[in-house]
Amino acid sequence: MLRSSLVVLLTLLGRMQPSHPGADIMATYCTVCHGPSLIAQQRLDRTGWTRELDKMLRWGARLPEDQKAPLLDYLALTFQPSRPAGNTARYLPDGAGAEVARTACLSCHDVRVLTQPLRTRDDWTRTVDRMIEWGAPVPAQSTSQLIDYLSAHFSR
Amino acid sequence: MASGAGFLLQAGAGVPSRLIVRSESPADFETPVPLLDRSWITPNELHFVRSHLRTPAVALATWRLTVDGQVERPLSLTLQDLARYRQVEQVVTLECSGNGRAFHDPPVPGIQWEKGAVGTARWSGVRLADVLRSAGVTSSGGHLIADGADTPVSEVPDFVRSIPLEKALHADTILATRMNGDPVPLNHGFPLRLIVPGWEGAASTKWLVHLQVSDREFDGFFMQTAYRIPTRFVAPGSAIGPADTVPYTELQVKSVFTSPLDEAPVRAGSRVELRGFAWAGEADIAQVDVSTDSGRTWSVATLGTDRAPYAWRRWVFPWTPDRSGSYLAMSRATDTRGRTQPTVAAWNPSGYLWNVIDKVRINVEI
Repeated sequence: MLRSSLVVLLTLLGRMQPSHPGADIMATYCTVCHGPSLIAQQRLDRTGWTRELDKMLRWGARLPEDQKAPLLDYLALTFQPSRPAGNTARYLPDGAGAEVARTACLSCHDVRVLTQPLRTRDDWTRTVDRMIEWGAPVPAQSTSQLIDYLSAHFSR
Repeated sequence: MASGAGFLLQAGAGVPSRLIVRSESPADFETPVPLLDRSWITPNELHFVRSHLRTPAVALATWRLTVDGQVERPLSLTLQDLARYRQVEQVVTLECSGNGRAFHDPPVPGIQWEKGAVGTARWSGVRLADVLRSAGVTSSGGHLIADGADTPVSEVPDFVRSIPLEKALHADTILATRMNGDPVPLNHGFPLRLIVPGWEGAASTKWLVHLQVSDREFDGFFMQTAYRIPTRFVAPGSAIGPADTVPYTELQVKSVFTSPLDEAPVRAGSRVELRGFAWAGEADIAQVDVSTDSGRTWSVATLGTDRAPYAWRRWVFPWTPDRSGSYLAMSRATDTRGRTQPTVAAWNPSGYLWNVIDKVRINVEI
């Protein structure tokens, strides 16, 4: 679970800003004391992030002065208020395939995309194939397990 | 992690596999509400976890609970010493102050809890009042400062809270050594947790090692800056000074759906049981009303028979939709003091007090 959540998170972080210098600054100065999801779940504007960063500096974060602006740029751009709440760790019913679905689907979608509207197994097969074409991280040997899982839990 | 002679690290630490990981470290895990649905008592492995600092290692051989400050006889108690006090138990619904924070608009910083930072457990141990009396506390004026074994890094403030002595000396406030019959799991405060029933969860200090009687409320960050609620309504997105806030203590009245799931597909003509839990801090639930038509009409739900003074009540409402459509179902609890759930949240900068009427969308298809 921890590993898969990290995969989802890292996938998200990687997709959002693969080359922003702020991502490295965050990894160097922030996540040495707390986990990355503490940051990634927030939805704050630049004022909000400035307030949080100032608190962390008061609390001993060893961020060099010249790294502050690029870190704030990154945080305010990546973890902004317009993002939907709570979509990095949504609940999925237990079952073989749940872990594949968590990584493959919830890296990009809110879990609600799975529950609405009702789909048949054929619909799920077509949808999964299309998503794989579009880059969903589904290992080849896990495709049928994922379709089985989605059909069992989110079908007519 | 050391695990030799003299050390006892409780099994079950780490990340429970079925909880939503809000933060890996510190350990903050949310219960998916469908998993709360299964029982009145939340199993330990499904109970939400809120930690502010890294989870401490606990060495039982040297573990002591220190009771000092304004007392006649300072105490240093082992678990064996505590076992000699009269044993009691309380079934308590604990809810994190920030449960529902993710729904506040505009968003606020903090752990983005949705609906599952709440759970109910049978806590057993000894009355805090009995321990305080043996230390020679008789007056109920003043405050009790509680500190756990968790320690911060760098300049991060330690997680220390205080409660008024009046609540500390209440017969229902306990020092718990067991949670649902097992030793308190490490994530939940092994080996000793203060349980302050009916109050927001942060009052119930985990990994408790130090109680200090004081004539003043604790002056640190987690009393004077965090865990404070406004004394008046504030404009969403605005700032509010500490002078216009007070410590958050007793929980509000609230209800939550545990079944069906939001966006659940349902067949027209089939019988659906709408159900969930309702709680009200130190008060009792008087009634839960349910609407299946976006709040136009309301019906009274049936309350479950399992009950305890500080525990949630199950509510159940059978419903058979005869026509297809997308229905917005709602639950609204009212307590014995007449408090009821609002339709709109009182926004506040820390994202507390989310207790609006709960809603789930149910999609009925032919």
